[in-house]
Amino acid sequence: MALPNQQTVDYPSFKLVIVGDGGTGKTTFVKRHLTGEFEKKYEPTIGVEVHPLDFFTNCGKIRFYCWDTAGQEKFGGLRDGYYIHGQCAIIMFDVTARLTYKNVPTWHRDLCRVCENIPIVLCGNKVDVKNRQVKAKQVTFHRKKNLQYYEISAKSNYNFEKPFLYLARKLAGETELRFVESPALAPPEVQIDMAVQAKHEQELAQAAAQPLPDDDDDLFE
Amino acid sequence: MDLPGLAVILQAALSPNPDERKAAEQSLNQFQYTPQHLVRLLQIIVDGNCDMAVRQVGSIHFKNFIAKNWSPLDPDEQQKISQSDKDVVRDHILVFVTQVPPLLRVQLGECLKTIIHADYPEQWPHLLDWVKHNLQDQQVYGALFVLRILSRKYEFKSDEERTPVYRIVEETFPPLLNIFSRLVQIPNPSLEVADLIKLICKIFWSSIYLEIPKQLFDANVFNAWMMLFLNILERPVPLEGQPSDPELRKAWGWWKVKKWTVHILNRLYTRFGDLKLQNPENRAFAQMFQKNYAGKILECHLNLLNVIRTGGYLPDRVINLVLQYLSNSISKNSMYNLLQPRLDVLLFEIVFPLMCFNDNDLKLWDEDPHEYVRKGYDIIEDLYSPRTASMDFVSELVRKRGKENLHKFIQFIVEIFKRYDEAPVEYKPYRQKDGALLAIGALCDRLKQTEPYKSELERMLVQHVFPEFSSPVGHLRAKAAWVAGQYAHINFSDSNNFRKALHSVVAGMRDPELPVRVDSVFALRSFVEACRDLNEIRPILPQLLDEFFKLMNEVENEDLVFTLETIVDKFGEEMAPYALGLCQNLAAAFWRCMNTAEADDDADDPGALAAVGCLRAISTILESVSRLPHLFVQVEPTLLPIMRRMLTTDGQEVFEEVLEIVSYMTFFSPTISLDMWSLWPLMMEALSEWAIDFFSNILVPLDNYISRGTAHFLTCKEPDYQQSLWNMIAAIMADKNMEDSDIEPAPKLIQVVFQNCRGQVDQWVEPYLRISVERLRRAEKSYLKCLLIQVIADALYYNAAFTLSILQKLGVATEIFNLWFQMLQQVKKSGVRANFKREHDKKVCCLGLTSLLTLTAEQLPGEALGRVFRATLDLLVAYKEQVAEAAKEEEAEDDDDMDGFQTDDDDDFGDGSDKEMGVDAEDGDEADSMKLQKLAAQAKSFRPSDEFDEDSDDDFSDDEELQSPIDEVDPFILFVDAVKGMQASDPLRFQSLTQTLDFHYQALANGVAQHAEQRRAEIEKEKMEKASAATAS
Repeated sequence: MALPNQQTVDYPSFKLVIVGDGGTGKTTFVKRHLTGEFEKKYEPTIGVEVHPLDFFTNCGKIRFYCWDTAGQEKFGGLRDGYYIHGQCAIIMFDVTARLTYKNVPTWHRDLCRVCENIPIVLCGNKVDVKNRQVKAKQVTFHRKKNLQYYEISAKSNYNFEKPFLYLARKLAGETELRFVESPALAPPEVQIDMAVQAKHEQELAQAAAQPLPDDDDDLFE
Repeated sequence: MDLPGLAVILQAALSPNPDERKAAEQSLNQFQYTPQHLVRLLQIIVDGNCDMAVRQVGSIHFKNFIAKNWSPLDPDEQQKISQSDKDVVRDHILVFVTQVPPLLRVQLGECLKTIIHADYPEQWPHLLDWVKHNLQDQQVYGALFVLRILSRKYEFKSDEERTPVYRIVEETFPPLLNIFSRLVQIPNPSLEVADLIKLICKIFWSSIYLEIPKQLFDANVFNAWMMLFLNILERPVPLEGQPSDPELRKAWGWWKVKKWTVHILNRLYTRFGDLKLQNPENRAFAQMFQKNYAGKILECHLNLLNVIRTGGYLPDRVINLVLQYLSNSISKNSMYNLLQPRLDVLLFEIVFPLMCFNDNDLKLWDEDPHEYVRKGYDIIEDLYSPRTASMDFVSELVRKRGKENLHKFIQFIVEIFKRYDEAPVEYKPYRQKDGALLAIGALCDRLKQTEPYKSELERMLVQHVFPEFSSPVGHLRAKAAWVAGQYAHINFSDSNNFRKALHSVVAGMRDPELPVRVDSVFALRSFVEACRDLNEIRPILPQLLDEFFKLMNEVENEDLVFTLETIVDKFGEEMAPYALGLCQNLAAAFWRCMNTAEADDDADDPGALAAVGCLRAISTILESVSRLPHLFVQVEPTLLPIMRRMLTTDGQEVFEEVLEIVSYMTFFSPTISLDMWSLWPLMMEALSEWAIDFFSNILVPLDNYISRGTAHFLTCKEPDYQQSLWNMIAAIMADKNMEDSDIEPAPKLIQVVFQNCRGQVDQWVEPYLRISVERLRRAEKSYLKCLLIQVIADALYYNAAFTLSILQKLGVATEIFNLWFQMLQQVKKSGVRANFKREHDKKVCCLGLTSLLTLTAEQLPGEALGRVFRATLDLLVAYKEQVAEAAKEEEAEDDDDMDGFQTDDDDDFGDGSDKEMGVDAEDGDEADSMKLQKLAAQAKSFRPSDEFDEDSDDDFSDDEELQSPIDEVDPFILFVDAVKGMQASDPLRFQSLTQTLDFHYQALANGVAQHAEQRRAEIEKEKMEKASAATAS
């Protein structure tokens, strides 16, 4: 599908919107693929930056135009205006900052107002950091709203491909879709402690099976 | 800028080309504050010829701009939107909101929220007309959409803020009713109909939540509404289109409509349908509701629940709400009579099955035991859980209608026990047994009081509960521990049974399944409380604590800490060997909780709750080992980091708890370490910045520093504690914003300094006296005045001549003494002394006044001497009486405690008897409240009658349990010695003094002299006894 005014490529491309609080690592995450450079210095995104990211799948090449939006309101530009024509989305929070998780519902609401029924992935970033504040089992929002959740670490490339793979499968309607060639990523900055992460993953698997409290939130909406 | 130009810019703002996009954003930034910008945006939003993406970006920009600028947070900020633009927006947005497709409507809806909240009704009086008009034509959805936003604004508004609601209801409810009626009559309605009905329900809910609008008091109008709600309640949801996924299913439109309907009917019933709760003007409504609808709703609710019997579906929340309604119906005779014919089916085929362990429980138990535990102890879950609602129903039934139901229900439970026992292992009804045990535990209060069950409880436990401690099924082991805990307090005829249960519960703390371990710890608390012979527990104490801490590391839960507190309370100093380890574990748990709670501003965070629990447990431990000072040295390094961090703003939530720990650490340790002194500046900083509400808590450790570390307080120059204290006290006493009651600890602290540093702080006497006198002039509350006068008294006791000269230098001596004597004489209408009520107050005054007697004739002239002498005598007599009275009361209190125990037993039968039918069973509750009132009246009569209401809040006679150097001083002896001194040094002066005394004061003087001799002998005797006790040991 070609978007208005978008440079076209001869293979399928999708607009992917990335949202979340400032400092959660949205820009860092996208740039892992693009340039291989990892900015240690934090420079807030102004408005939005668009990066085309290509992936090679068993069904052919696909492109995500990643709209990396500003998390901080003061640099927001059009803010939810950028979500228009979004075909899929990533909501990012920082597992070492509880507040960024608490704001996920707001991001999700703004997103859904603009893009109805698009596949969305919730990403908990910075799982390489030892002092996590949001434990895997505390992450329940995605289950209420039918999102996919992944724990990622932009610094270590941990699970980098997962969100893209999930979205690609959903968009293609092809559950068997897989990546045939790894994208060129920057070398990991840190080694993630796989034992620790395995534990988190296990917690997550357990949490996934748990029933949710009755969704009565429209009482207060 | 013209419209096409704006459209181009909006289009460019969507461009993936960064330069185009940025240029477009810049132009938008530039133009957004120009006149008519919002109007142009609106035009683009509704322009059907315009590209949809452009319209959408326009709507979002429009929404963000309005959110930010329509009603700026800062009222002084300059208005960015002109009145005329606002008028245009208000005039058009309503029409547009209905015209535009949903994608744009949601954005305009957000704008409407902002504008309605800011402008209605003052700036937007016509809004309502628009709604009303459109409810009558084809724009029903739009009108409902707007009305929903409008009614929501007033849902929680009360009193005059609510006034606009009356008109809204008056104008809109008649057409609303028509629409509702039309929608309900549509055959085979679509899901869109459900959405419309849901909107109507929400509008109705918001409008009646706090008050019934007067229009609904019209019986015909109300009936019309009720017929529709009952129709919705009664009819089954369409079968077609129901999602199979349970999550989607409960959120499906028609189930939502059902839920909202039940919500509304419950609200009407519990808030407005209860005759007892009503104020007179709503009484007629309540009667009408009871008579015409309450019963019908009950019937529909019962029908609704009926599907559970056949395994049909109902959302959990609906089950919970329906059961709440039924529980509320039990105590009303008319309702209960309706319920009765269907009660057995309800109880045994619906409610009981809901109490049994089910598939979802099993899944959670297996897959996420932590969540299983959390959910089980989460009170919020009670709002949603069908199980809690079932337990509440059974409890209420047995409480209010026990006579007809208790036996029947217990029979049923016993049958389940029997079937369970008889079945072979592979067919045992484990889940039913779980439900039966839950029921037995839930009815514990009742069964413990009611024969014949009361005397059968021990046998029941042995036969049906104890075996489950070793059940192969985890949830039954957990349930056994829980039930055993509920009944730990009964009188076991065979102590082996108590022991068996206790040991099983302790063993449960090592169970492989987490929920069993957690339930066992909670049960343990009851067993420790109930344990008569601590030798049962003593040998396993170390092992028990070990298990306990393992669990504490695993789950964050406040209830866990309660168990520990109970253990520490019971074992007191025996905890000494474990105190250090306990504190270390609690400190570690505390830090874990803090890290979880960090950056989380939710007040209901379980981590924060548990953190408070940890600090409380640490306090309990410190208190229990208070007679073992060396332990305080050992534990200090562990607690210091907590104290340091939590005495800053980080500790606002736990400030009382942490100050209690600081108090113990500064009071019970052998000496106050330099590390502990390092906390002083933190407290001063907190006090000066935000912690004034905690001044009385901070007073305690400060007192400890000064009284127990006097030398360091006086000599340390870096930091200069004396100066620091002065800065704080002077600032607080001078602060005009401080209420009298806020600063009470300040004069108390000055007294601490004068009493503890006698003769060593001469340089501070004048400054402190000066600010005390200044503050005294502004003081209104008598208690603060007393405290400030006591500063003077203490200064006199510190050095009478020096103090008097300062007062004279300040030119306030006469003023102060006149006030003091006046306050001493002031009595209330009842004749009770109005000031210096506490023993301590009187004593301080005595010491101060007595010190004046040691002055020379030049310093204290004859006339003044006589006044002082007489006032001191009066005060000494009053002091003596108060001390004697307190001693008597203490004895009496001990007796009272005994009585308390006896009456408790008698009361066991108090509400066990059933009330006769014919009178509403709620009389039972009334009787309870009568009893409460009686108790309250009794409590009141204990308080001295007090006609000066302004003073009543500081009318307390309890002495704070503070230690002070003057505890050692006997005022009678001091007085007599002072008088003897005068007699020896200036016999003439003494003679002229005695001559001025009338017979009454001479008698008092003799009495005091005698009492002083008696006291001298008593003190001597006590000393001898102590000395001999010391040599003997």
